[in-house]
Amino acid sequence: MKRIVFLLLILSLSISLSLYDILQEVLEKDGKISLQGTEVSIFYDESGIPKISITRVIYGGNYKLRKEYLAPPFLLGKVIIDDGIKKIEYLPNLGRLSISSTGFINNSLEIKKRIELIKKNYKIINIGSETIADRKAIVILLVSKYTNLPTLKLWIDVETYFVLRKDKYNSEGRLISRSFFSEIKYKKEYYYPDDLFKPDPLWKFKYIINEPVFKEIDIKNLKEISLELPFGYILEKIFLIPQREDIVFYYYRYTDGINTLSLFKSNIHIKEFRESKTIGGFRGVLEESPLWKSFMWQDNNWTYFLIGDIPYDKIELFLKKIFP
Amino acid sequence: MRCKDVKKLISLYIDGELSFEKRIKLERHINNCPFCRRELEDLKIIIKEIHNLPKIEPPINFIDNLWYRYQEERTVQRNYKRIFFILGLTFALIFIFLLSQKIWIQKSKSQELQTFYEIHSKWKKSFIFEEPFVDFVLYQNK
Repeated sequence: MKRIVFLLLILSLSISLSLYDILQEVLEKDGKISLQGTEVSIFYDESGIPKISITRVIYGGNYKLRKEYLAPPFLLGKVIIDDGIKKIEYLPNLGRLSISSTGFINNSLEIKKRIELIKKNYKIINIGSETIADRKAIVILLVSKYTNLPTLKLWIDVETYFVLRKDKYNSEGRLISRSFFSEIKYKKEYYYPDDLFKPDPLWKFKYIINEPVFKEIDIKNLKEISLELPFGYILEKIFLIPQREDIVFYYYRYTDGINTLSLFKSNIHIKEFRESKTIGGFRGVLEESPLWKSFMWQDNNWTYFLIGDIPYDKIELFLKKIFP
Repeated sequence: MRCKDVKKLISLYIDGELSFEKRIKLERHINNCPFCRRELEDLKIIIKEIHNLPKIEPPINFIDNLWYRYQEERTVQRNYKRIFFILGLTFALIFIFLLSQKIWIQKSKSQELQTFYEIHSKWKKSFIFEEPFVDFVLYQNK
């Protein structure tokens, strides 16, 4: 009997290890596959009416991406392009262009770090296999080790390791979104012209949010903010966001491998007219959405703004752990 | 004719200013109604008493004083009106100013918070873990 239990344990361990390997392969292949397809994203908010967006997606291989929104009307014309160095998002209805660093992880060391973090914070369960857009996919579920609730479900193409479908759950275990490819065609690398992955000269925008002007600060010198937060979040990067000479914005980005948690600190006094409440000795304003919770408070002439997918009953715990 | 009609017309009746028809109707009622008859008699007594009061000659400058007081009252009333108008206008201007300030602060505040939301939700590493539906939360009601 003991031998059977031991064998089962070894078997389950080896299966779980192979699933992390699959996830690592997914991250390694991301951006290297050339394809085009139609992606449907469904957002399940609290209204009970699913919100659907449809995008035409082109992966050019060699870390190039173009995503065009076809629906809903308020996002029609939105384009995201990524050339492996920077990601540009154009929103015509807001007249805005955002430039940030590439969304691809094209660094093996960073992928390994990410996988280690996922291993630390999530269990991976093999759900089985399914067919998505005529492609055979393995289905895996990532479950938080802290809440024991599902976080992400991925349908991975068994041949290409491309994610064909993903279901995202919030920290309270509620399904909040589903994205899947209704059709997909793999192409040879360098099939698409480079112009597809460059900004269109006809784009009209009033203002630009530019991440490259953010100044990255060395984490080693950090003393006033915690490097680690509950639920396995670790501080990934710190940026100084230049606004004006007299205004300072710090951006602390934490990750647990899958989710991101952001803390902003500024010397500007942001007035808030909504009702404030006290959580764990911090008096501030709490705002909730299906995707995240945010809490803004003031302390010692600094304004802090914490945002992330934190369970409601754990906000106090996070707030208490921010300052070492 | 009813009692309440008689009460309305009784002063005119004493002054002899009622029409013939109304006077006949009123008299018929008074003859039959002890209450109205009593009221008529009381009123006649009061009028008679008033007529019996000794006549008082007004002071020589009575008209001037009256006119002066009247003008004074009017000036005070006018001043009050002016003060109320100025105060009202001032409060209205302050209210508009504060409201515009509040709207401006709220607008600038929401822009800052909007930037925080965007940076948090969009500037992530890995498309696999990206949330394309963030736009529904950020922009749908804009």
